Amino acid sequence: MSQRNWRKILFGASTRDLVGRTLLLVFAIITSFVIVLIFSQVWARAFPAIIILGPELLGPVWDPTVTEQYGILVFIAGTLWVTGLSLLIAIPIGIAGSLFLAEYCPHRLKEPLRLILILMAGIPSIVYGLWALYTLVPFLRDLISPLYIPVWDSLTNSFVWISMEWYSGYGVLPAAIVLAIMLLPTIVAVSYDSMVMVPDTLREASYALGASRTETSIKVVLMTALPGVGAAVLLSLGRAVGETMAVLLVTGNNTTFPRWIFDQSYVLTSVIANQLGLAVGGYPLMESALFVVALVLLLLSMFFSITAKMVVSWGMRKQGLR
Amino acid sequence: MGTSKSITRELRSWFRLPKSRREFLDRLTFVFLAVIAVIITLPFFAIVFEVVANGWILLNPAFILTNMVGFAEGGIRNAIVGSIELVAIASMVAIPLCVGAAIYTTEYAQRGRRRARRWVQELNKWVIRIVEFTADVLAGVPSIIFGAFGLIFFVAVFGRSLIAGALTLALMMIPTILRTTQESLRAVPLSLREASLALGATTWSTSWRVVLRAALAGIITGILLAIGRVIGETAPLLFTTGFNFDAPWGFLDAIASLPFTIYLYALQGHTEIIRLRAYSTAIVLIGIVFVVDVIAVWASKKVGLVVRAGGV
Amino acid sequence: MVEAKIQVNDLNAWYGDFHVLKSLNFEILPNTVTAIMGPSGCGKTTFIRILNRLCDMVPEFHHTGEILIDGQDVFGADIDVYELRKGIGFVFQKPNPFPMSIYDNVAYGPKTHGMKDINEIVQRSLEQSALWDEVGHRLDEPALKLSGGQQQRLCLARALAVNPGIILMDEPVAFLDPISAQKIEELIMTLKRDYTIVLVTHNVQQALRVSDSAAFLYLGELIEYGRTSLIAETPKDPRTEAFLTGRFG
Repeated sequence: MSQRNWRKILFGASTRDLVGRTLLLVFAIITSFVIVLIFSQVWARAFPAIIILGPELLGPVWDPTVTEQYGILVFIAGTLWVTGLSLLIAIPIGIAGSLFLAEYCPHRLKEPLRLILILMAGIPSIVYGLWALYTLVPFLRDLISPLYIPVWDSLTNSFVWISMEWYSGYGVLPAAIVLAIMLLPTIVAVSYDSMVMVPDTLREASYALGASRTETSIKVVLMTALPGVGAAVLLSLGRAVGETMAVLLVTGNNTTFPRWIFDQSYVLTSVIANQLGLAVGGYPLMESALFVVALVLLLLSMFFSITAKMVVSWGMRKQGLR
Repeated sequence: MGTSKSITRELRSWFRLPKSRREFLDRLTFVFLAVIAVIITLPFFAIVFEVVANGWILLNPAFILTNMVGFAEGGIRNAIVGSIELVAIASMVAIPLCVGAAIYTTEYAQRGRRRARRWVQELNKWVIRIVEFTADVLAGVPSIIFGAFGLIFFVAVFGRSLIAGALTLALMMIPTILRTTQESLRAVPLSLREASLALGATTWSTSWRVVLRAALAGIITGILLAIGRVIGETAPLLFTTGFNFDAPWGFLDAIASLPFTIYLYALQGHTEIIRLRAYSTAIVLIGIVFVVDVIAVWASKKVGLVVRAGGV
Repeated sequence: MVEAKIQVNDLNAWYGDFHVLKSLNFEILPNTVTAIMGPSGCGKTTFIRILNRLCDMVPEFHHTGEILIDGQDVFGADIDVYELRKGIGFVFQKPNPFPMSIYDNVAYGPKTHGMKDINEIVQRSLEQSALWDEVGHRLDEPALKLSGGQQQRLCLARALAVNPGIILMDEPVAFLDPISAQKIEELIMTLKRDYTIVLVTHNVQQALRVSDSAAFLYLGELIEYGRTSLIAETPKDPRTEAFLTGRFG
């Protein structure tokens, strides 16, 4: 065979196509492999602690240096408090906001509002944290400190009024507020998208039956968009649990159990951020326990991502759209 | 003329009394939801105002063009250049990877090879499903997990360095770039591909010369969105970059970055100068993010792609 | 002398600068089927959308003249739009049931207006639209699982559930197969005993089959109006004749 023919086979168009296809397939496999790699690495690092500590990991005390107790329950409690309160604030406001944007907003305002939401989502979480640290915390301290607030006293079995003079401003409350602010753009944008997808013919059908604008937007638009709204809630839940920097700066990072919103707390992400760098230096068990925390976070985030997808398809089946 | 008439009609309908209880409720709902919308956007203005009002005091050319001297003196050039280096290297890794994977899923696995053997088609279907599913899961992984992973995977090899931080950021860019690229490739009309294939071109050259060019603006939108997202990330850099008062280009040197610098300032305490320097750094960071995001939104309008707050 | 159910007096309508309806004058008698015919874009859909004021949704819409229903101007200053629409049922061109259960679709109107005995209303409406035998035993299934023809009859049942006096239909069979279309036509014939029906169509044969009187619109003008049989046999205007013989539309 002549040299020219060999060149054609080696460098010709169809060979290039084959080589290119293989190369791109490798790329596709790499992108999928990243999550597998992350999961297996985290799992491998968490494994020793799970074996050695076992149920001790679910203990209430985290004190790796002195008494060597590795209970992560306090962080789970902190995360529950902070994300719970933030979603309590963000979900109703976010859904109402997306309803406004989709059904009530004058046309001229729509684009500016959407741009503001995009920019809001773009503000780095460390900047939210900075603002919370320098503005929100002092504000809450000055606002709440002079108050007397009723607290359930287990000794007398009745409410007593306690002075809030000691309130530092740090804790569950500012973390939940700043987290709610950060979640709102996502909730609004994702639910807005599913409300815009509701066809106009359904709105017209409702109006033609004599329903008012409010009735139409709640009973028809919101109900039809409900799977998408549910997905928005789950996605934001995943983000809330995983948010690190803003929360880190304002919870107070105190390893006692939070009992109410004015208490300080310590969340799952914060303990990794604060202690992993130190632990990797020479505290193998502590490092491993911290990777158990990472594993919990990873599983939670995967759970929320997958459930969000399932809610959408379940909802569409329920409505008969699929 | 039409609009002005509709506005007067709208205004007139607002100034007359409601005709029924339900119309009254409609107006009440409108007012209530409008107030909510204001409440949602208020923090945005509050934060931007707070940052700008405090940060502009120190902001001058010297602050941007000189390196830090200790934490309280000098400028933040090292952090700015460091951030740019990190994101540039991360993009160089992530873009080819994601665009390649997107081309494979949309051009080869989905469209190409209709005459391929049955099991090849089945396999390709699964590749698409797996790639998209893993990208969506990856998008939800907390940023601190990327940091922890970078520490045990990249730092173990490279030490706390520019390359370790950049690779960690590259992983975070994958979902955004991959999904937007797929979306914009799918938006390219089939007729364009057929025209090229009909001339005897291979899928490879069709993808590169025709499809990719047609989808370019959409892909750039995705890249910009990903850059806007990771340039503000602190958590992945906590354990991976170290800190540096200079901005060297060595891959194995420790490197500073804007978000990490802000974090260190926040930890430094509450002296006035540190607070102001933190806000000044935040202005620079927010400025970069906003410019990138606005360009992304503008580019997305050109190609009819919908950008939504919160990314993918 | 029967009182007119709908009286149109010198009605003009615009979308922005586009003059859709030009000086319409006619009246529709109660318990009749009136077909509004004409080629696409002649303003027939706009006309029935004005009757129940769905046109309010379009910001550029404005009008002059008046439409009296039972002697009341639909654009009158003291009209409650929601009550007006409750009295006028509307069936759309494409079946558009809500993505809820069959029951909830029919019950939507009555519940919205706070009516009582919802179960009975649902059953009566489904019976009126000849759907009860088919779906009566599976009311909690999603409405979108029904066939196209069933969906359209469900939309009719939904409209009937709020006891309207008038039913407006915007080419209700355009998207249906011939058999489903025939069922809808039969329903129209039975329903006119209790309701006044205005039917928009560009299907001449259909208009001939079901309507008592017919209006022919062309480019926004009312060309001819009268008994359907009369118009069909002896059209006065050449444009009507051209339309009836299928030369346009």
